[in-house]
Amino acid sequence: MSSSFKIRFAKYKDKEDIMSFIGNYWAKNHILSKDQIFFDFQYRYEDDLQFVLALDTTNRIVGVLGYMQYDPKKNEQDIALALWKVIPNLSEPVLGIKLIQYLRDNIKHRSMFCVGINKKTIGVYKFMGFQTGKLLHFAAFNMERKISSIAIPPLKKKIFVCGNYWNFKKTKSVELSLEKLIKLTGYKEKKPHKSKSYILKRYANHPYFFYTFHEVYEKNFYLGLVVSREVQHLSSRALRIIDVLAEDSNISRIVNEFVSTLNKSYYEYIDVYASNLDMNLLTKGNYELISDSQEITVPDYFSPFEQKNIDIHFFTTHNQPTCLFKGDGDQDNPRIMREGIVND
Amino acid sequence: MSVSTIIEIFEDILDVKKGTVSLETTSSDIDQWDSVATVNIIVALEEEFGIKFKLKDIQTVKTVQDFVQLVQVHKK
Repeated sequence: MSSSFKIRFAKYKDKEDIMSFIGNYWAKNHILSKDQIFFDFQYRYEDDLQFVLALDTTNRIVGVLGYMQYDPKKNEQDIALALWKVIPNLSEPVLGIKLIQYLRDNIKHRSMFCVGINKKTIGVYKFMGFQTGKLLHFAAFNMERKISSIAIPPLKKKIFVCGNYWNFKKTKSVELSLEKLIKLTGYKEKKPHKSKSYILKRYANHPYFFYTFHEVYEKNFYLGLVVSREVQHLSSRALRIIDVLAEDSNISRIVNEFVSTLNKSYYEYIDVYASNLDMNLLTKGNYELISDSQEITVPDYFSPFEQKNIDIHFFTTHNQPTCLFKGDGDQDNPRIMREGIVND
Repeated sequence: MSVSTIIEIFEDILDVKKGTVSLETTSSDIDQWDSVATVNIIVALEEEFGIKFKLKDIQTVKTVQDFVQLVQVHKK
């Protein structure tokens, strides 16, 4: 059956039309519909935009699929999908699926995934044969903070137990630290694998968010990097682990030991959203499981602030369990612009 | 295969009152019936009847009757 819609990759000259589409059909004040710098930061790659477009016979955009290539110079790269929207009630009921299929058929990759999928769309990914799941949310609460303004902590906070041989050092040079990271055999084999240039762009050169990098050492042996971001509500602050760049088998231990940085800090808590962490290690260790908790609340939305637990769903085409973090894809980004102020 | 089961699946996924969906209903009759709902209905039908559709199968379906016929073809 011939389709009355054309599907193609976006060119940079499509930028204005895509931004208008996002404002008209996704969210009126979405930062990607207003902020050209942020739009370029997120989607520009050389002379192209990382979007697949569906157009009608008048060349009007009727659907978009944004994506981020983790290592575009490699054939075996991993790709994060992002904004995905098709105008409702078109004569082609599966145009959205065709956008994903077009990307799969026309770009070299080994896996695709998306963190932050709408729960309603889980059936779509199942239909396509992808694995779906929910990131687990963990938090470790600072015993020294008596008043909590951001979270609702457990009635009894844990006393942290940390190993003697662990050391977390704030990086003096992200570039040099990434040089060490990409030489680690375990990191080379990691799936999904972020290239050095992707990490620099995504975290070190983010136009609005400030990320902190801690180098991780166990017995002076370099294991990787923890990427974190401070959030604030009223006069309280918390630290969020956004990504852990290390061999998968070390990640749960790194997350558990990272609470040592909380001691003597002003943070209420440290939290992390991730898939495939060792729940047993973390909950018997320094963390509480927040997902599905009735007692503890650790928010994900800060602008506007909402004191409630939020589930983050994902899909992956990779058939083995993989560690995905909130920092994967477009999840940890500002969303709304109000009167020139950017909010997350 | 029961037509009433299929209609129940539609009403459940589209979150509409019982009796809203008939064999003649199309996506333009119900606001909630978008492309995502179409695929969710397909996945629910696959699970209910133990069948597997292909993408081309669902490109032509418009009415609830079309879905019923699709299920009948795959059940044979």
